[in-house]
Amino acid sequence: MLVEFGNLALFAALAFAAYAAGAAVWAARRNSEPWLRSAERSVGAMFALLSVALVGLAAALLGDRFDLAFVQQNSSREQPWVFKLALWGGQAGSLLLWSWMLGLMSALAVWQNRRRNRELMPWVIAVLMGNVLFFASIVAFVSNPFDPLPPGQSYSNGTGMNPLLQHPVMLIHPPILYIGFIGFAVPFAFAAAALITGRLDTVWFNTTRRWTLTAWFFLGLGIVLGGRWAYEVLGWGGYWAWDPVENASLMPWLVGTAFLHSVIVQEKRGMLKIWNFALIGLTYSLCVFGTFLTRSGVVQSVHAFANAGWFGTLFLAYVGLLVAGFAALLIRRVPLLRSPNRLDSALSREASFLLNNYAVMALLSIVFFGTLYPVFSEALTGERIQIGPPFFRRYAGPLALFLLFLTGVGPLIAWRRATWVNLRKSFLWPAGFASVTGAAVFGLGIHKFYPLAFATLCGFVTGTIAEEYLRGIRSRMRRGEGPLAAFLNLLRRNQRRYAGYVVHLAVVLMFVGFAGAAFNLEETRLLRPGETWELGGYELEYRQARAVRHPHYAGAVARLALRDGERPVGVLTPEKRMYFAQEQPTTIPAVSSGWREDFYVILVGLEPDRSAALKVYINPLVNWIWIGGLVFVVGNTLLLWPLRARRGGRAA
Amino acid sequence: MSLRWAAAFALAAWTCAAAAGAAEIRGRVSHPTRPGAAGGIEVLALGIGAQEQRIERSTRAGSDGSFAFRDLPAPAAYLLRAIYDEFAFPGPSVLFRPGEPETRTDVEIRVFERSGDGGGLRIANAQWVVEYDAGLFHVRQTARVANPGQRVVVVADDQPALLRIALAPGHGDPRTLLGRLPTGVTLAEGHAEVRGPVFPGEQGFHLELSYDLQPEAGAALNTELSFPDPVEDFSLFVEDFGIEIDAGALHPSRPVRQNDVFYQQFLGFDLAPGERFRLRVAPLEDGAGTSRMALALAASLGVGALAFFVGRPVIRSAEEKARPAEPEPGVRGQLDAALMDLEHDYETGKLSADDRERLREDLRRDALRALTRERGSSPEPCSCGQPIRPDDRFCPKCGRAL
Repeated sequence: MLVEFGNLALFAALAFAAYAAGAAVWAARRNSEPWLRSAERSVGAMFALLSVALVGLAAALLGDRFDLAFVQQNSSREQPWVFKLALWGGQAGSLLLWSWMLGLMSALAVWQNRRRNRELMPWVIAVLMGNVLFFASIVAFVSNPFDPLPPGQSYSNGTGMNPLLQHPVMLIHPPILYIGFIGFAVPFAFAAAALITGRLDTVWFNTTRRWTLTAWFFLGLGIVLGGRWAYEVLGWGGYWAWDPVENASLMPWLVGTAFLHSVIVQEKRGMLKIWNFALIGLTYSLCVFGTFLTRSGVVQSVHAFANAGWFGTLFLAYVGLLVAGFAALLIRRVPLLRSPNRLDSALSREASFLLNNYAVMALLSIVFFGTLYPVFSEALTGERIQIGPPFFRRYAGPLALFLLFLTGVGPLIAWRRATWVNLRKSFLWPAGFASVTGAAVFGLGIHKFYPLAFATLCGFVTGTIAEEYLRGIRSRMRRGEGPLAAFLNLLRRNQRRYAGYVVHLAVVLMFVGFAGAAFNLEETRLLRPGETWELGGYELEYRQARAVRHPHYAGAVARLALRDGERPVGVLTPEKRMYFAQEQPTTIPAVSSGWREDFYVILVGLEPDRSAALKVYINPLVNWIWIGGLVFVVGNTLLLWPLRARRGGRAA
Repeated sequence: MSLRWAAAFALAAWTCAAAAGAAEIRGRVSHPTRPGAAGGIEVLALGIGAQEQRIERSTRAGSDGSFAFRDLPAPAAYLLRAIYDEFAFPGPSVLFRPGEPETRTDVEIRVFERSGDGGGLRIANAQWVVEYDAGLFHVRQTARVANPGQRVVVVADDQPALLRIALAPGHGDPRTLLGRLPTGVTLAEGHAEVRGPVFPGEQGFHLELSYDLQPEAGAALNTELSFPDPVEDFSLFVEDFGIEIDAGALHPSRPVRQNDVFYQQFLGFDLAPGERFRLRVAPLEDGAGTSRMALALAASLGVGALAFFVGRPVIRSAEEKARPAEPEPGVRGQLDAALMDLEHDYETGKLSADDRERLREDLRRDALRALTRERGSSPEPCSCGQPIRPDDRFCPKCGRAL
């Protein structure tokens, strides 16, 4: 009964979303509070109905309702219940989850602003409900998880979820990414409402600051988790392949980063207003575009759901509508958005943020072009040409260096104009620390340009962060506070700034990890039982291999003893599996991790004479990426933590 | 043999044209352990011609085992056999298509001695296919016995069987494709007993049987799969007509579709002698038991209640109390926050003293304007004559910043 209710609730939710949008627009036109309240209640009703739909689908999955096509294709009786509930494993389920989250964000935004921003809220509701209508319509009419199988088809069991997705990280990676993507819908809606109403001051982004930060945090976390899953599960020794779907999440995150920094300039100097509107419009459009890339199959990817051509056309049309609509609203308001203030100097914090915007847009262009090059080349020449990681590394590398440099410059450079005295005072120690770092890395024998440049800049940024903290603590200590109290008060009083520096530190740590990739080692060898292999200072001894049998897969596992010189490190057991139900082979790597590097080995194949083909990767510094991810979480938690509001209570 | 004939017929029907010619097949009969034993062996060429006529030729192998067939009708398809020790050892099939060369010289047929030692034999594959039709379950069992050795293994009927393949308990009369059990197979006590000949190499021994099983009440099946002898690979396919299957410890695998029929698939590997698996098949309960009327009623009530909740503010707008609006963050608070930031930037050296003063002035000017609006005093009209509301930041008519 719950399943049948779920399907009905989906269609009812569409009706309430349409009503909410219409009522909100009517309320705005007539300046009518009752109609606005009705629209708000309709948003709540829409969310409640989408929740019923989601619960209905969950009930179908847990209840093994294999008469439904989605359940039959994505679940099986033998699947653990946590993976049964991972309804994002299939297109229809993931779209329903997307719609539900959009409904949740909309309802939350409406509830938060039930007594505020009354001028903006009608248009906020209209824009959010427009989004809900699109996605929920796709679910209801195009890719419905409640669609039954044709009569006479299989009922008693399903084919099960892709075994690659049956991993703990995959339980959280998609929902976290979705929170990131969908979270940007709220600041987007507020920006659109501001453009429509002419309420062009800072209210729209002050109101949604936490929304933007939260969405950006979750999107970034989702990207890191995705890299971790790829590293642990896909068995190719890497974490980022510039895959189209990976790029689809990176692009909005980059633009969101630019937006978060650019609004600071608008707050302080009333500048970059047009930029800020454009950036939030582009961020959300890229979020929806990312969904289009993932689902349309327009660019092949290991992640992509394969789908029909017209489905992708529908999505592309919607992205076009978002972009064109927002751009039209923005262009209409351009004369009102021009700031009376001007850039006083190229050596100023305003200029560094502006450069940051340009650099991010350049990086975005490279990633966008590279991702869609197969489509462009096919349209122009009839031949589909894929662009691989070397293109991205070559052209994105210099921009990444420049952005890292700006990460260090931005916090310390003065507003309006920086004098040479000011620059010397601010950057002497960080530059010195950078030089020492660079020299030390050079002295270790690392002479390649990019690792050296990254290491030097990481030293520079770390130096600026330390300098900022020291200056801030010193200035508070001058008021009579002790060091610890000064540090805590610094965080509390200037939460956004100093917690933001922790996030900068996270980025530095991740870049340290990325730089290590220049020294990755990769080799393959066939070993007989008892043979040893010396590689990169390690000794790997192949002891034995045996068959494994499991209810859902069969395969082989090799047992390897690893030594670092004379010191035993541990026993590694890489596996190769064939999952019966999905008829899919997978490799399960075995990894020995350390601060310095990872020793990563996969079992490529097992010969009849028990010889094992082994592929080994030695990945220096890779774990600093995951450590940086943890620091990223800490920094964002500090940023979002509701500390005691400052006197005056500015919206956080 | 008749299956081979059928294949040859199909090949010939597909490929042969009207024109006839003369073809030649040359090859060698070999014996892996007694090289001279191949001399004098009778070799048969059985073919089907372009007009579907049967062709039979025979010859004798020379002392070195070589043989030749000349002036064979072509186009045609031929199967080759070598008769040794009462066994017909298969050779390759040879196909002469229209327009293609009519000579084939690389044919090899291997013959073997016989043996009664079945120690190396194993059941390489076994399969059950269970279907449901006309109120009965039909079981089709196949098995392939592999012989890794270099002798044809066969034992007499009065000797113990080489291998046994268990049938389902309560099985009906077994049937085969030819209407009789294959040579070397007998039925005893619920088993098919294999006595050979089991040929070396790819041919081995192939068994296929089918029989019916009576269902229990409600089209359910409750039976057992047992394996008196080891089986390397086992597959179970059960026709899925809306059923729940319990196949014990067999591994569930990907469902299979063939001829518009879906089968649930289960696999077993390296099954030891004596292993048993239960097989229970039961039709699923009708999932559509929920009364549509009850569903429609409940849904209507729910949606109706929500519609009332949503429409109430509009329907009873006169009675609704105005929701008190939160004041916007006060100007004073914003100014305090901005000034604190300014002071911090100055104290940490990011602002010169001059810039600090200039920015403080900017903030004060903005605050004064905002305070005037906040206090509700009517601002002066814009220079274009448009009246201005207290909270306007830009003129609605000319757009000038206020």
